[in-house]
Amino acid sequence: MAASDSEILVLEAIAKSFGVVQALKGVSFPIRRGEIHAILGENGAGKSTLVKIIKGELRPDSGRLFFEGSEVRVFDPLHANSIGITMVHQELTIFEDLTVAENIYPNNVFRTRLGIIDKRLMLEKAKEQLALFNLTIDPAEKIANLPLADQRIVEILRATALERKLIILDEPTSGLSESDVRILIELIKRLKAKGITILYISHRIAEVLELSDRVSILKDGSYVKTVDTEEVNSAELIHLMVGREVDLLYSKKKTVDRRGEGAFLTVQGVGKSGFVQEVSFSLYRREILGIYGLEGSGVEKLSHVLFGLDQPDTGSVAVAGEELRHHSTERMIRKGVVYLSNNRKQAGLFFGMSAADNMACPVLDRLSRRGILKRQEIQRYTEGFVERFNIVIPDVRTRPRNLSGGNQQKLMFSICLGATPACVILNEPTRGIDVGAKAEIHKFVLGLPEEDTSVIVFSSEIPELMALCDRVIVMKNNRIVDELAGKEIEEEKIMALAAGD
Amino acid sequence: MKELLLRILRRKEIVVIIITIILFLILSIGASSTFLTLVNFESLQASIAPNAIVAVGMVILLITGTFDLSVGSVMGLAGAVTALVVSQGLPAVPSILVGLGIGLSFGFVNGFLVAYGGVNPLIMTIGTLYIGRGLVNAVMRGELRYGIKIDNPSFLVLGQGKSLGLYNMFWVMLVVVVLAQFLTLKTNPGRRLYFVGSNYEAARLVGIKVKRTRLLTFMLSGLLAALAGVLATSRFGVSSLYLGLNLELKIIISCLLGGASIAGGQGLVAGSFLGVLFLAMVVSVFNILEISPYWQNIIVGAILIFIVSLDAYLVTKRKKALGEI
Amino acid sequence: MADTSIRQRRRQGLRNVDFGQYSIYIVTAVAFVFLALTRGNFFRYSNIYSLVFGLSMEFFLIVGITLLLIMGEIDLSIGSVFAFAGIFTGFLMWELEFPIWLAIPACLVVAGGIGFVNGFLVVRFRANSLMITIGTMILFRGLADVLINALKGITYPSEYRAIANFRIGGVNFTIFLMLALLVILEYLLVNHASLRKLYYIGENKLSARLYGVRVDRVKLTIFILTSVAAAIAGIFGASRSGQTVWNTGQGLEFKMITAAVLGGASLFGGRGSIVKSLFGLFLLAIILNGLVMYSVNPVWTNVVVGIALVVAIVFDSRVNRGSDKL
Repeated sequence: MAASDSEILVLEAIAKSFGVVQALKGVSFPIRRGEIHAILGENGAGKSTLVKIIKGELRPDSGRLFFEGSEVRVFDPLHANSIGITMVHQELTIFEDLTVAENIYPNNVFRTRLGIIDKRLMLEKAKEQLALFNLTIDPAEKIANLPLADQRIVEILRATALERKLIILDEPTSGLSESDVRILIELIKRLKAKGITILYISHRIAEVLELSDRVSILKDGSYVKTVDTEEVNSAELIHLMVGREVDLLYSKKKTVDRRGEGAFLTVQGVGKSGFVQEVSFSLYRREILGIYGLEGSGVEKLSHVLFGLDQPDTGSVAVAGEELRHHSTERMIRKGVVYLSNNRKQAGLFFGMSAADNMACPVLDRLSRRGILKRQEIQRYTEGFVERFNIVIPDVRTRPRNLSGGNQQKLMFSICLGATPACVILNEPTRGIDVGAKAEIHKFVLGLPEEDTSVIVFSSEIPELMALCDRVIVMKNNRIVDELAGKEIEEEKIMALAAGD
Repeated sequence: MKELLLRILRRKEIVVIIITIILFLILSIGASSTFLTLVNFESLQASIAPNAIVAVGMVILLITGTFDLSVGSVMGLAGAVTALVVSQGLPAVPSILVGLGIGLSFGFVNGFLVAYGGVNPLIMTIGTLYIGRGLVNAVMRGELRYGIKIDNPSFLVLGQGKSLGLYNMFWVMLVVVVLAQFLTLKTNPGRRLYFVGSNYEAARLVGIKVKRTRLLTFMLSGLLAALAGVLATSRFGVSSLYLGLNLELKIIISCLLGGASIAGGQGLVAGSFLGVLFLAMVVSVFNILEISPYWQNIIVGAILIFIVSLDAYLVTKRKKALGEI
Repeated sequence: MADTSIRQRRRQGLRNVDFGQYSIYIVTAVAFVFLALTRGNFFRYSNIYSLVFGLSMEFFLIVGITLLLIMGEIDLSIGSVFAFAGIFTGFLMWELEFPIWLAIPACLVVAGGIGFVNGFLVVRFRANSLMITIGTMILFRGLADVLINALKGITYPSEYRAIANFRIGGVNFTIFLMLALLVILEYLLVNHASLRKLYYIGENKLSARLYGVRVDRVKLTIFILTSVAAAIAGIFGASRSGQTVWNTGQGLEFKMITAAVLGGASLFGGRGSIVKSLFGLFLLAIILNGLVMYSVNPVWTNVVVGIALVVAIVFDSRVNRGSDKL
């Protein structure tokens, strides 16, 4: 199959297996020069494997790859780089101790005739790159001093500075606030205007719809279809990805007013210098309270301080009427509050220990008699949750690292809920998991108030908050701006409060 | 001009510089006849030169985010073996090459297992420290344990000879330090060390050959430690069982004082030299005040604890300011 | 499709675990049998007994280091604390004329203080435990040397010397102590909720914190315990040798780490067992004993231990690095 001039990358029957697992089964489709081409698919659909092959990290078992008309025979990231393909990863890969300019040009090519580095030239070139995209970042600044969104932008500039022809972006907006997402989207559009082809991998269907020209869908390792973005909507894309009719994920919740039931948790004048200023609010019994804020608004730190992961400088947190003097996670747990981490790779699971061990951690006292652990009971306890939450796991002795992302998240949920908490603090409960698991988790959360559990949800996805919460608190500039309840919870209103003047 | 001054003042090494200057002044005023004599300056050269050379190797490793606890043993072993072959009749140059070869070999083993085997570098180099020290004892066993004497003049000139008023080994050290400082600051391979130390994974992803860099820097560290051992042995004219004993920790302290961090990505060759100078001064003060070597150890231990805690505190503070828990 | 892969991976995983779990017993048994068959002097009661006796005193050292390794921490000062404690107790009794029932507790309290300093710096400042304890190691080695100098080569008082020699039915009581504590501690380590926490901490400190484990407090406690245990070992050691000895306990810390890693503990945290660490120690003792049996010059001892350490940690990296650790 000869690649036409307009097709910069052609995949032909690419297949790849890892042992008995067939990650990719004969995937074939072309990517056109200069377009923004999105790849959608659930976790396990084969996206990351495909992308790794394109960027040269993996060699396909069979099939061929054509880049700019010629077949790619060498699979090596450096080779891919040299022919014009580069990738910006989901996890930040910046050099903290170094400057912006050095981060843009890590393989410094600016040499004077003597062979030494020409720093001035490097700074100039960095300034040029930044100017190309209307950015006001100072290239001589240490990158560690920049906010997260700017750091990610610098990383993307690293790819553009190399004048690559094909840039792969893997979940570039993950962890960013809405306004930063906008900045990034504008940047990506400008990249396209310069003729760079972009492969866009994302779970965020709204972004895909806005940015991309065409979308290719993978399902279970197979190629489904490529569609013109203009001709599809969200429901159709989801249908193609999941292959079953899924109720529109984000229908607005029928909210309930729980103020009459009294406050379970009260935050009074809590502050942490540099992050949070004089925050006061209450969580009422059996309500689901959402907290929303853009990057830098203080929500992340608030969640830490709330749960005792960090100490407030001022103010106090009271749970069930009792003010906590020495805040700590241990006390919160004893008072019946649990915390679901927003980054399960970093915290929230014990990857090297069995699922049963994972489950037992917060309730060790409950599952032991005079200190001695009751193994049988731990096993039964774990199996109960596996059943309740439909966790796909062969055995309670299996380790989380052998589970898919969605099941890992469900396991983390189980660990928290197993403590039969009076209150659950969820931090990004559905980040980085596929549509199917997302729907399941939303269902659980909505069912929690019926079990006498109060919920606080921190989320960067407004539609998720709308689907789950009775009330939403919006933060901006380290303070609470407003509280919305019932019908007031609207996407535009929330955004206006969080980002407006 | 003012900006330059401000930038210098903000660096954390400024404290060390100031204290060094103060110490120098105290010593020269307080113990003038004892301290500033020509003899003392000479012995200062002799003790600083080998240490500074080892420190260059160490600071480079620290910049790349790792370190090497076997340098003291390598120094001792290289010195002992070189002395042995010289005393057996091998001419100077090949003998020195043998010594350096030992350093390279140890560096290779360390570097290979750490870079390609994924072994924890600290414990790995403790293992080679042990092996090295044991080998020194094995080489210098029996009657040899009091030292292998060297007669070969062309070998001895390296450590005992002078050119232009300064010891030859001091010149060697100067060349090493200046060259290293230049390379790490102004050339690509040198800057790459900082990238590797700052974010190993990211460095790998942008195409820097991180494993090879690790291997080569360990080999360099071994080589420099061996060079220091050869020079020191040449200076004394006899090998010693105790050469390099407990040296690695003093070197690390020197490098940390000079601005390096255990976390990697920071540090300057010039800073490590400064640290070595500082420590040498402190030891001079100790000797003048006639503090026993045991108390010297106690103080060194306390300084190490203090610096490591301080370094950790600063790193944690920075992380917390970024919102980490 | 996904299920098959998980099941298959589990089967492969089990294979790895099986091998790693029992290998130390197998290797130790092989070494033991080899020496017993090839060297007549080895399999004599007096020889084996002295090996076991030595083990029973070093036992305390290995307990502490194993618990720390499980949490992903380390303490290199145990050799110095060992030396210091032995001499300090002697010093208290000789110079300050403390009675033995006062000297020993006083020494243990001081040791607890050392452990507290180690733990506090590691926990509070998030300092690297390796580097901090190297500093403590140097410091207390120096202090021990100062004390030896001050005592000028004495023989310890008889009550002191009697401790190690105390026998029940012809067997030193330390051996009984070791066996009893071994069984109790290992049982608790596997089954008791609070010791289970060590594994959680070593596996993922942050997750442990999230689920209510007081990581800082636990770490501090274990650091203190380790130093106190090292002191106990040191008192036994000094009692056994009967007089002040230069460089006692030199290199013990590396020997302990080697033993623990040989016994399956990992420098990356999350694994370890007291029984297996002890077997690692036993293996080392057998190897060193074997060197003597084969009339190998004692200068090679260091080299052998060093090589054993390197081999152990290379294996450790191969097997354990693959876990989801940074």
